[in-house]
Amino acid sequence: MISFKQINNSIAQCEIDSLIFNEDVITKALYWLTADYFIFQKKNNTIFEIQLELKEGSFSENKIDELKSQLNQNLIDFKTRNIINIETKSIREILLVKAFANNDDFEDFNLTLKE
Amino acid sequence: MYYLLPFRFERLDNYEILVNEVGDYLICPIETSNKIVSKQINENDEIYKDLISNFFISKTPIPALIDNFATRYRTKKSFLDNFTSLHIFVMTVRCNQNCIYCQASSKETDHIIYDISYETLDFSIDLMFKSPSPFITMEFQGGEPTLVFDKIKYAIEKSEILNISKEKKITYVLCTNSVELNDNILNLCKIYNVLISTSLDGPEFLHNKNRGKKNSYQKVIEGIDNARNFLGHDRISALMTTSFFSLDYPKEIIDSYIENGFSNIFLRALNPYGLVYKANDMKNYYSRFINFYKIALDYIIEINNKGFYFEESFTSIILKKILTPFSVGFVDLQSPAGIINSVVVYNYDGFVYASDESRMLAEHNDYTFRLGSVKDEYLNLFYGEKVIKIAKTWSNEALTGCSDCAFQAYCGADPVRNYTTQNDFEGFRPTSSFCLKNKAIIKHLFSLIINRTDEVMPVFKSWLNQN
Repeated sequence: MISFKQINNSIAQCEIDSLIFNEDVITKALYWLTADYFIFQKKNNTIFEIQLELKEGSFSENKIDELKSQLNQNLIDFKTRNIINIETKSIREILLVKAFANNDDFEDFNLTLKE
Repeated sequence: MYYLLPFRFERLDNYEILVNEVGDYLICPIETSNKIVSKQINENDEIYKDLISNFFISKTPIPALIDNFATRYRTKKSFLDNFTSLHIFVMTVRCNQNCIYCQASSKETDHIIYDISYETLDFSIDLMFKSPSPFITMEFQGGEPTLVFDKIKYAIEKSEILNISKEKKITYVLCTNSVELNDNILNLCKIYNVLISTSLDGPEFLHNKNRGKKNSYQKVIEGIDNARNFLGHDRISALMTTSFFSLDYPKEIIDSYIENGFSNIFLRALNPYGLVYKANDMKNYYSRFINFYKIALDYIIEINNKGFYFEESFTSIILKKILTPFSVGFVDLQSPAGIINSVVVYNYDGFVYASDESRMLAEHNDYTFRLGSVKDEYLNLFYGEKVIKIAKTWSNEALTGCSDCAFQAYCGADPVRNYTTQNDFEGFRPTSSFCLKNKAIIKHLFSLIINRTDEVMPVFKSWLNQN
């Protein structure tokens, strides 16, 4: 996250570089905030400008810190999850095919490679 | 050098819980996932062997034991092998009680238009026998099904005759409030080994308040005693429903189950169907229910540690998913969902519904999960367009918010509930009460496993060994 600031007592704004956190990661990170916030975003080149508006109430000092911390953590965690998902997509497909293939259909199809 | 295998993670109590594709978990220091992904784990690190042996990483692009891994995945999903096994027959929606949380929209006892017809029974039983499952549970529900005892008897006797050629293993279950369990009913239960599932909400003041009757508790306890004397102690089980009023009495409810000779309890939250959904604030309810559950579970663990075996059944279901390699046949917590795959409902109105909750929606004139008439062809009902539409959202592996969740393997999908509470089959996890409740309970169990290992694990293992 490039920046994070409180605009007023119900709106916070942040900027995120999509070269660091791609759009999928940003969307997933924001998804879990949508219970409490209206989310508005626009993109300038690689930078996402995001406004988070509280649906109810106003920011306390704790709440704004909590939001900042949660958004940061969400971005980092969903980036890690995204890497796992991309790197393991093929092996997951192979696993499911083997798991649900009828009996020994794949017995002779040795997919295991030597170390 | 190593390769990643699919896994998910969640932070909890200054740890990271890593869960692989078959539900095996590792409790690790914070940032372990990041280290794994950025290939910072070395062969000499203590965790390396755990990650390899538990299928979180692999020395080769495809692990040498992938066939074992695939078998384990298949085992976890083996509840799918036989397709629909639980066949619920809603015999009537008439009832002789007046429960404040009634989810079945029950009717007055003299309104016989709410009874199933013999014709509907015949067609429904034929459909039941078309299920490929060699194991069938035929469950009679209501309303209060004993109000139509003759039809229960007819259904069982007809099924027995048909089963001479079908050779399925049939288990009969009668869901009754036990208020009118007479000799005729108990005799039938004895002849055909019918299990009785009854409702007991806790101590007398609480049970009677929930039932809207002054003497319900006394009648239910008498009914339970009669059934035990006639059929055997283990032939009757009880379920409780946690009303708003119940939330203040977790220990009293457990004490009442123990006093009445039960060795387990299922702490069951209200479902957002029927009368309750219209009358109360369910969002607040589920937060309070989680607190209720934690107090109750602590109390149950304390009782077990004093040497008295007493099990919380919902916890056991989750623990079986977390701590064992086996499949769990609990229709409310499956992916693909229990609806249709494991359970189907033949309703008194002559139609087939995807689940018990689906027919409850129909009582409010919402027929979204009505699969068709009992007179329709089996294939059109169970593989028809409506089922195909539902199937698009019945796997949590493919749901937004669930697909990345570390607890996916322990949880399930519930399009009916999503639709009921959020008007959308897919659902919206940040405000989902299903997600809120299940995630909170799973996290709490992990927290207990992490922080109170010596105290809770012997108890948890004793429950798993019992089942």
